Amino acid sequence: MKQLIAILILLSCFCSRLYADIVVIVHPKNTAILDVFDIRQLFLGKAKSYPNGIKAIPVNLTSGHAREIFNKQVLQKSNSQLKAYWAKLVFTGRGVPPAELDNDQAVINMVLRNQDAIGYIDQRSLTPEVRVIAEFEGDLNGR
Amino acid sequence: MKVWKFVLFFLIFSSPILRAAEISVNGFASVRGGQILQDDAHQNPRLPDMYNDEYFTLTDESLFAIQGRVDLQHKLSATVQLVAHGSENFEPEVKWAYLSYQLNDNHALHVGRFANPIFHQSEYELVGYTHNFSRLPKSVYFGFDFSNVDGIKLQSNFLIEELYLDTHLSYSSWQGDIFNVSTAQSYDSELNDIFNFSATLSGENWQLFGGYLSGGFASTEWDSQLIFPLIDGFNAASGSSLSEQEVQLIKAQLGADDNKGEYAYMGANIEWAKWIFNLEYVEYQLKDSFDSLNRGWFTAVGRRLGDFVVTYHHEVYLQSANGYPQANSMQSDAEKLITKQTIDILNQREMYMDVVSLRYDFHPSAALKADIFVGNDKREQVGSFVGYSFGLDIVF
Repeated sequence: MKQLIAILILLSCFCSRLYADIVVIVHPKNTAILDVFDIRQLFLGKAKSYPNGIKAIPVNLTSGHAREIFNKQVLQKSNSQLKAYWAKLVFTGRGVPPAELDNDQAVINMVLRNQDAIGYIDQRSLTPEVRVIAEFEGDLNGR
Repeated sequence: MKVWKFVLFFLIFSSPILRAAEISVNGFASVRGGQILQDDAHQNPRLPDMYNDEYFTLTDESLFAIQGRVDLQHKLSATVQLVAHGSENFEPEVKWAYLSYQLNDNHALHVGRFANPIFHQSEYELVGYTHNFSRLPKSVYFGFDFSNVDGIKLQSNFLIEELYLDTHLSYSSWQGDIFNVSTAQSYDSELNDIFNFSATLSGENWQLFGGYLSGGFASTEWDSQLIFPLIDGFNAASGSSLSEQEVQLIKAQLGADDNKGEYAYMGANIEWAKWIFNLEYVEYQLKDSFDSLNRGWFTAVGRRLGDFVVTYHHEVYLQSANGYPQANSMQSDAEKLITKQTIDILNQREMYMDVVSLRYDFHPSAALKADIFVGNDKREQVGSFVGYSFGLDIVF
């Protein structure tokens, strides 16, 4: 019985490593309600403002699992597809990609400093000061 | 490589004057080598900037580019792009230099020298990383000399429910040399009053696009150094006794100067699961001149396989005299014959190519690419040809 419990605990640890959630966060005073399509348009530069007309400032993570999950689940593009997408816009003068920050804490700080900012972080880094507007589950093994 | 212009570029964009402004520097580069394998009995098809010698070369398609953008605040920005082509001894050239004013979220105004979207991918034609081909199909992306123009353009975008519409409207002019494939020489030319409108409608996994350009062509060199000597030569060789008036009539009918050029394109891109489909059709002509209707198109199917993309595409370029309408107003057989001979010698080619390309995204900002192409040029002296290339495309 003890062996079975140990195996189950091990399995649960293993499973928790298979999946990681990311959360899309905004300033607590930002009342925007966004679905995945709205978030995608903001991060692809196709929409510049929240539905209430206020200009949005999306911020990306430079790299890491959260970014990969966000690219895959929300933007539905691989890293290279996204790079090619932005290269087309940059080299035609149509837009510039969102600013990139190094880690979750930097994104949280940015969101807390700026009511118009929108970013995403690993759910494990979530702090109560920010408002979560969407949550996505990512299969890290599927990278 | 003439690097001093790039150094100057960096110095300017890192100068204290601009330190307070928001500056972004991006760039792209391609290093590609290849060769067209043609036997001694046939001529090289002489595709623009692509392996016109019989040897392997890394020069023809390689290029380096750097672009700086300074946000001058209050919705104003300035952009400069330098490009150094291997085919031009890597001499850096200012391709773009324009000021932009963001009118609102949907509209931006640009003034200066900018890319001329003759066809759908013309604006980023040189940025190899943006597409899965080793190079964009030559039957459509022919390396037009007037790919950068001076003028004003309005770029707009609209999010309509789940559709995204991107439009471009510009008025511009261009002055420079235009290369003629038949003679392999360039002639001083101008395009004035260039009106260009293009639109791209996008859904989740698809795009429909189209565009139209018209401009007034002016070049006395095309007439005096190329077309008229040909007419005089054919007239002399025919032994006919055409009057000066009749010869002038032919010249007026076939001359290039002061005529209107028209360019149009349409096509679609679809991504479904891991499949990619591309289609683009273009046609263009210098109206009321020696130039017969040019048509080009390609169809491509690709498949993503992890970090690899395999693409097959078929491309066609046709320039058909189509019954020689220029000869309709001619009275005598001699006039008609000389008209047809002149048109025939100036018409370019009928060409088909089948290409298999492989892209490997081995790095977040770089892709390795290779291709094998098999073509058939209907000019007797060229015939069928085979070639290959491989190289590296990066963006930063």
